Amino acid sequence: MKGVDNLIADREGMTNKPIVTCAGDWNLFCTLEAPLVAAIPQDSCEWRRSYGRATKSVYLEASFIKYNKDKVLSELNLLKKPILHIYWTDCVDIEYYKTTLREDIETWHKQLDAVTDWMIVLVETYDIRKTNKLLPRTTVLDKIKGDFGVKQTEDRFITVINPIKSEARSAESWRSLVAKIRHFILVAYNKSLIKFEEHMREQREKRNDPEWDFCKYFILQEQLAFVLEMLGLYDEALVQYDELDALFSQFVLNSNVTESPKWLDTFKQPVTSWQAVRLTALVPQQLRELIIKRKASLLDFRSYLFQRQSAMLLPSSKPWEIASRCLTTVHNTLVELQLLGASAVEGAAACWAQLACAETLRACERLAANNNALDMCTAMQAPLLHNAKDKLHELGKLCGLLPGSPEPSSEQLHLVVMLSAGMGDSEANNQHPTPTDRLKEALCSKTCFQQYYLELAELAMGTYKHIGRLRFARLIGRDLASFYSELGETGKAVVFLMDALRSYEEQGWKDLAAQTRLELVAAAKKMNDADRYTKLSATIASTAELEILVRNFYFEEMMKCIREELSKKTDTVLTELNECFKIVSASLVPSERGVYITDNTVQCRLTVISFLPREVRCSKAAISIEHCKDEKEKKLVKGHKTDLASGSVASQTNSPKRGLVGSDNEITNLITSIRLDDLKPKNPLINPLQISAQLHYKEDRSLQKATVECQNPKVTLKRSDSCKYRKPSATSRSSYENSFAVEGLTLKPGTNEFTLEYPAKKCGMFKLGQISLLVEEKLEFLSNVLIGTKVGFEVVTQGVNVYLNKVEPKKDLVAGLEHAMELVVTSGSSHIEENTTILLKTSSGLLIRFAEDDCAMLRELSIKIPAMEPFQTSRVPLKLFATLQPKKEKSVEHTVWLTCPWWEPLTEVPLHFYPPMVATWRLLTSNTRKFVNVTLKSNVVHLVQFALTEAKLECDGNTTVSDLNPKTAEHMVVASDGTTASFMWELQKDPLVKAGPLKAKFSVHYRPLSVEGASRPFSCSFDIQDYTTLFVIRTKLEPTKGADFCRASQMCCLQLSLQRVNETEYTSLMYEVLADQTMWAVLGRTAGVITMESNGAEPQTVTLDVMPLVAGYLPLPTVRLSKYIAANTKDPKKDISAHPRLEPFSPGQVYHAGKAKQVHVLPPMPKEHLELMPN
Amino acid sequence: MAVCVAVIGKDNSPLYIGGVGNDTSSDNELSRQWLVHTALDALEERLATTNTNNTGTNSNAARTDLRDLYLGLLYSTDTHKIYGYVTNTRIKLVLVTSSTSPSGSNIRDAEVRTALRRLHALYADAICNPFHLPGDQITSPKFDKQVKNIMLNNV
Repeated sequence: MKGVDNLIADREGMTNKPIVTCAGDWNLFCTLEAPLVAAIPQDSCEWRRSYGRATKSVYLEASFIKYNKDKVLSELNLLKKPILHIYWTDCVDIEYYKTTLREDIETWHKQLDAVTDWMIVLVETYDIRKTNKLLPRTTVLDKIKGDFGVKQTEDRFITVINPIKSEARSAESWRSLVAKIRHFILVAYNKSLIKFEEHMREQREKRNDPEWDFCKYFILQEQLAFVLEMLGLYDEALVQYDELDALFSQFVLNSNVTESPKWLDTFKQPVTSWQAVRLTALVPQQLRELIIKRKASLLDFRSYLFQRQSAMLLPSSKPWEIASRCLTTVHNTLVELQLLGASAVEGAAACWAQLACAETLRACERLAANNNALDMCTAMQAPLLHNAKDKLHELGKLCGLLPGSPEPSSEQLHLVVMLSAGMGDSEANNQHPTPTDRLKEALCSKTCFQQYYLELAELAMGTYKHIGRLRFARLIGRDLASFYSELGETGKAVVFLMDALRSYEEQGWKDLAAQTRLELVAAAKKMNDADRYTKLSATIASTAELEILVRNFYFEEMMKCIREELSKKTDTVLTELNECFKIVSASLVPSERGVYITDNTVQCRLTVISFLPREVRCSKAAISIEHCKDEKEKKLVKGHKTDLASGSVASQTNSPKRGLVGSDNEITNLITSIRLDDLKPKNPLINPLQISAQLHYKEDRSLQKATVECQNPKVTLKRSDSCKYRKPSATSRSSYENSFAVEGLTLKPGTNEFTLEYPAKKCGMFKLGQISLLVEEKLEFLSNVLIGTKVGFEVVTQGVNVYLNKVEPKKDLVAGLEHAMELVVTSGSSHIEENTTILLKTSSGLLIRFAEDDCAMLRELSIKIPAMEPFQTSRVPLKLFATLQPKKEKSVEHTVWLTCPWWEPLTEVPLHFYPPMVATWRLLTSNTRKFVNVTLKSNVVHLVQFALTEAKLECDGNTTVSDLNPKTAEHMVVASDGTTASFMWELQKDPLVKAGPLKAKFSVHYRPLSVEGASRPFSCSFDIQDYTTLFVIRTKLEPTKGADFCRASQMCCLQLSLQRVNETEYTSLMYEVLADQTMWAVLGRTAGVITMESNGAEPQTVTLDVMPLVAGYLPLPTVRLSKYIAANTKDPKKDISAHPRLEPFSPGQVYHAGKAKQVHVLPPMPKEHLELMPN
Repeated sequence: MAVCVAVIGKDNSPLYIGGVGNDTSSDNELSRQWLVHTALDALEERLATTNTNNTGTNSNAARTDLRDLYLGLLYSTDTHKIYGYVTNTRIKLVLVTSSTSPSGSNIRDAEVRTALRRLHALYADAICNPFHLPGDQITSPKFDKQVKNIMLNNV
């Protein structure tokens, strides 16, 4: 019997093939079998399926067996059931068919009964002779068709030309046969699968039946998977396994809450074997047998299932899929194992899991090498390695293989033997050691274990890093650290821990950081690193996240370590301040004098929060001070003037203002106080968003949309700096040569406030640098450098200051009066020795004397200063007097030069004096008489009052004046509140004599009203010119002839008469009538030129018509008289202007007699009068 | 249902970590923090792939992915399963279930999704407090109580 041995097929797994039975002429078929078996898989065939399932292209294989009528309707075993039945015959003789063959076929057909998946193949031998003949009327095939065929089955009858006998001619028919066979096989499968699935569903529905058995069902559904696998539909086969997986998982999980079905007890049996899974395409028959026999343990079942699932994934070249499933399977299995409570040797599960992971890794490596899925694989490998490592660690712990553990006990050794036995033998003839070999080896000795563990861990960490899972990598780093730590290689451990610690701190995982610190501190203890131990203890003691007991313990540890270890050292141990303390604020205490002066103490107030759980003695707290870069050039600002009005007359300081120009910027930038919270960038989320609601309208004014708009998105959407995580680089100790310091503090937990002092020695600009807290004399906490914060101060040397001050600073200096002044000397920060003299020199006109002794006033004064301690002031009262100068200037400038022994150049003190009073004069005329009026007025800002006596006016030449002033003039007072004094004199001279220019001098004696004493003279001289009266103008208004009165709106006559009263060269004159246009209307010309006879004294008269516009007492129109200078046409060179011009007279030269005259104008005549007149 | 719930800020620092359940040597508050911390790796990986998908051709499918804030199972260990959820402002919510406890082992994806959505709502409520600065740790006892309720409610 030919065909395929079932046993072998099962063993090879993949070699399940559709079974086709052959009836009829077996010998004939045997000749055809080989080419047929070879031909079927050569091409794919489309598999159309019912229920709308996707059409797949499938490659088929087939195995043929001899027809056996008993096996036609075998049980619902998809694999062993023949799928297609073929009847072979080569009968060509119709007679033979009728007599024998027909009966045979009929029997076969009847046996098949309901089975419709059959074919009848008639094999013909190609006969060349036949072709030429006419085709026979009926062939055997037609007969068969006629006998057995119905409509639907017509295509199941096939003739084929025997390819063995005539290969060339048979190709066509042969191909058609093969295609038909493929097609019918698939059709048959479609039918039977539908039937099978129905049956399967039925079975599944019964799953809550107490008698239902999962194992049985598993084997049933697996058949479907096998068939799908056989057809090359691996993904669909995988679905079957996944369904089974899910079903099983659900049962196990439910068993936990509800009563578990009976069949589940199978899987509760003790686990005896934990062989590694083998990821091959082969069906692990051994495990399958166990499942069939219901002797599979949970691990066996899971192994089998995982292997099958992997097998389905292998051809699709997705190793990462296998890897990811491996992990889930391992996790699920371990949970299930626990849930089912299957007893097993401790560590068996771990063994199995480790092997599963390792095997999967090996398979992935093998597969990934073949295709380009390396990257995808790596991502999945890392967790596998992680898990393998963890499981190995678990095993190592169980078997006492971890470093640092004592030698394995006999029980542990026994366990190793048990575990190794359970793993079974690894497959033979492998060049590389299999995971089973490696695990066994690792369990045998500590060194091997170590080697394997480190290999896995390093690989896992590296892979995690490679795929960017740094947190996982650090987690493994921590495991490695503890492993190395146990190994005694604490140094390596510390590296891993520090790396982890940094990342936890950066991202604010305080609990994790605290935990890592605890591990680090243990490592430090092991390493005998007292420095590190102390520092870490301090930090741990300050960690709020930890239990207070732990913190207290480490606080004690820290103190103990300082006492026992660090005290031997000469240097202090430096550590970071931020971890144990928090600087809240640092502020400089303002100096009493406004500036910080050398040799004085500068104070700084520091607020610090201590996180330590208990009080700690701080032997010294200090803030380093950094000198700012030197100012560019030390310049002395010379002659620095202070405004007199501001109170100080003069100030000259030595150095405080020195260098001010150079370092102006720095000074403005320095601040004196800082809260460290202020330095943090403001949380942008707190800022209010600049948004506003907007309504948008359509053209027809209806609302289109309402929006919320952000006006300035740039502000809101600003990129945040990445500097947040940047840790300040390790702090180095600044120089504490110059520092604020205080000793012997006690720092309580919580807020502490204390003052540090710095004796300022040098002057200059200083900034606060670093803060240092020295605890128990050995542990020094250093803060970050505060330089960036610009907290600073300026120390100056204050030199001697000399001021010349007014005693009454609010009063202005007035010339001609004695003023009380004082010379103020402040010693600053220096001593002034005895017999120091200051020399004062004044400008001319300024006199000075000591206030006490009534000696004469001098222009030079030498003042002795008493000896002085620093910051003392001495005052020397002085009297100052500025002589009056006969100038009319509003103010007088004087200077006092101070010569001091402390500095070289003279100091200039500018002084500013006001004159006590100002005189103004006027010349008054009455016809030809002349009067002089002098007015005195005071412009001093503050109130001064002067009593005036002996007012005098003196004129030169023979002119005399007659005093018109009352004789009680000694009571005259002039004051700066606006009180003025006026004096009047008449010039006594012959009015008809032409007088030349006149010099006059007014003098008066004054004394301040408040002070009794001698009066001082005040004088003022002035020139009087062109004062003789030349012309007298008279104006007269007369009503028109016939009228008695002047009436409004009636013409009047204005008569001007001009009379010369003195000799003059001006004969050509112009008059102008300047009438107020609201009162007068001048008819005709208002101006004219008249020529006066030079010798004649007769008055010239001009008459003008004017009309008063209103009634009442109206002032007469005024007349202006000017010199008329005719255009000089004869000599154009002499006079540039070719036009005539006017020149005014001096005030006293023309006397207008009618100036103040008024005329009475009656209202206009009533109208009745006007009408009556003609009558 | 859950043994631990964590709210993690945009900068990957924890804003809130709450856990229930009795502490044992292998399962305590600290160990859960490690789980949450490492979950960030998986979470960021997930976010990164979502982003790259978005630039790719089938942006339509990716967009629906993006809209779904629930990221599903991030990773699992022998004893725990860690699920992730990320808000549009990149606040990460992490939920840890224990596979050893009867309630945790049998949990459905949909339940986790609902729980995380509720947590998101609670977080939004807590953030609405005008005295809470975004980016600060959440200290509200009410929030804590409600979160613990979520963790226990679905038992």
